[in-house]
Amino acid sequence: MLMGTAVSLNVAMGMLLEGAKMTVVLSVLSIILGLLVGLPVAIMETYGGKVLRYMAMLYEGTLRGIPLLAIYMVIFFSMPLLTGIGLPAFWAAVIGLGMRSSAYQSQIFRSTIQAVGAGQIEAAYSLGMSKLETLRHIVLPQAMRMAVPAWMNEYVIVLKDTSIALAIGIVELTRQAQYLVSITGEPFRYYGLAAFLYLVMVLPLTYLAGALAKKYGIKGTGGTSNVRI
Amino acid sequence: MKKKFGEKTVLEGVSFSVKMGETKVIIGPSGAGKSTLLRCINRLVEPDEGEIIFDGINVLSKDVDIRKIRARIGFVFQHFNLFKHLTAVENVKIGPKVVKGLSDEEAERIAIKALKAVHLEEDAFEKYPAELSGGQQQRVAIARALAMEPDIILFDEPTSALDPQLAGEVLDVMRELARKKVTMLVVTHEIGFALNAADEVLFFYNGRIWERGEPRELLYKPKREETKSFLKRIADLSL
Repeated sequence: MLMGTAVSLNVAMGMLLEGAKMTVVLSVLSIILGLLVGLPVAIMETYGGKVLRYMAMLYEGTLRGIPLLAIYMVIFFSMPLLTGIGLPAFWAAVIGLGMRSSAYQSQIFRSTIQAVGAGQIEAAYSLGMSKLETLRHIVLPQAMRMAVPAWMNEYVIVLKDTSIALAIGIVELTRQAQYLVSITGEPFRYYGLAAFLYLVMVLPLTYLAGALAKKYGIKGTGGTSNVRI
Repeated sequence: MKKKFGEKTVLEGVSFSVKMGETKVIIGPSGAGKSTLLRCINRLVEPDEGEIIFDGINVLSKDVDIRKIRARIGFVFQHFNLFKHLTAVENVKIGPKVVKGLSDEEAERIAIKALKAVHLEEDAFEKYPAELSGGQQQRVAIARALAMEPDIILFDEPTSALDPQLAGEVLDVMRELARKKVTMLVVTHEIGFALNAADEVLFFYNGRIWERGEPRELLYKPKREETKSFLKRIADLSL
C-alpha cells in the first residue's frame, strides 16, 4: 500500500510545479479563447440587430447558468455519445473553461462598450464615420481599456477554476497535490503547498492589474483612479 | 420639415434657408425644437416629413449616402463630446484620417492649422480632454469640425455648459469664424452673439419659427408677445 510513503520535498515540489505549469497553460489558452469569443458576443449584444442580440444573450445566459463541472461533463462525456466526436481531455478543458469565460467576458465588454457615451458616438457619426469605423476607432479602444481591471479579475478566476479540470483527468496543480496526499497521507502539507503556489501565481497578477489599469486607463474616466483589487 | 416623438410634435413645420457665408442664429425657450432641428439636418434624428436640401441634394432621400453629407456638415455639441482616449490633436486628426483617408502627416498638418484657428494654447495640443478646461474642450471640438473643411457648421448650444468667462473664449472664436464667412447655423442663448454676429435671427416657439428678422430688429423691437417675454426673461436689453 502506498499510503504513508515518504516523498522528498524536491520531488514533491517538482510534481507540483509540473501541475502549476499545466494550470498556467490551461488558463492562458482559456482566457484567450474567452476573449476571442466574448468580445464578438459583446459587440453582437450592443450593436447587433434583434436576432443577433437574442442569440448572444441566449449564449451568455446559458453558459453563465451552468456550473463549470456540468459544462465539462457535457463536452467531455456527453458530446462524444451524441456526435461521435471525442475531444482530448486537454482541449475539452480549454473549450469548456474558455466558453464559460467568454460568457463572463462578454458581460465585461458589454458594460464597457455601453460606458462609452452616446455623445461620442454621435460626434463620430457627425464626422461621417460609419458604424464600423466608430466601433473600431472610438468605441473599442475605450471599451478595451476600461475593461482591463475587470478582465484581469476574470483571468484570476479562470486560473483558479482550472482546478475543476481534474474531473476530466487533467493533471494540473490541484490534481498533483491530491495525488501527493494520496500516497503520503499528508493533506495539510501538500494541499497547503498547492494553495501557496496558487497564491504565488495570483498575487502578482492583482498587482499587475493595478499597474495595467493605471497605464491603460483613460484620463478622466472612472477606470483609472478607483482601481481596488 | 416636421418631427414627432411619439405623440408629441416637436417640429410643427419649419422652413428656412442658410446661404453660403451666412451666420444664422436660432433662439427660443427649451423644448421649442431647436436642438431637434439641428439633429434632423444631419440625420442624427430622422425627421418625419419634409425635405432638407443641402447643396442641391435632398438629405432625406433614400439613395443619399448620409455619411458623405455628414462629412460636409460640421457639428458642435453642447457637451463637446470629444473622444476621451485621444489627445486634442488626435481628436481633430481622426476625421480627416478615417473619413477622408488622408495620410497621418497631412491630417496632422490640417489638425494643427485648425487648432491654431481656434487659438488653442500650444501646450494643450497633446493633452487629453479631461486635462483641458471646458472652453478649451469646446474649441478643440470646433477645430475638429473645421478640420473636415465643412460647408456649414451646426452649433447646438455650444456655450450652455460653460461658465461665462470660458463661454467668452468660445464665442470669440465663433465671431471670428462668422467674420471669415464660415457658414454657421447656431442654436444659442447668447443674445450678444446673435446681436453682433448673426445675419438673421430666428425665434423658435412651440416647434415653429415664431418670428424672424435682422438681429437688431428682432432683439430690440420684437413684434410678438412670446418673443418679447422670452427676451425679457433671458436678457433685459432695455435700459
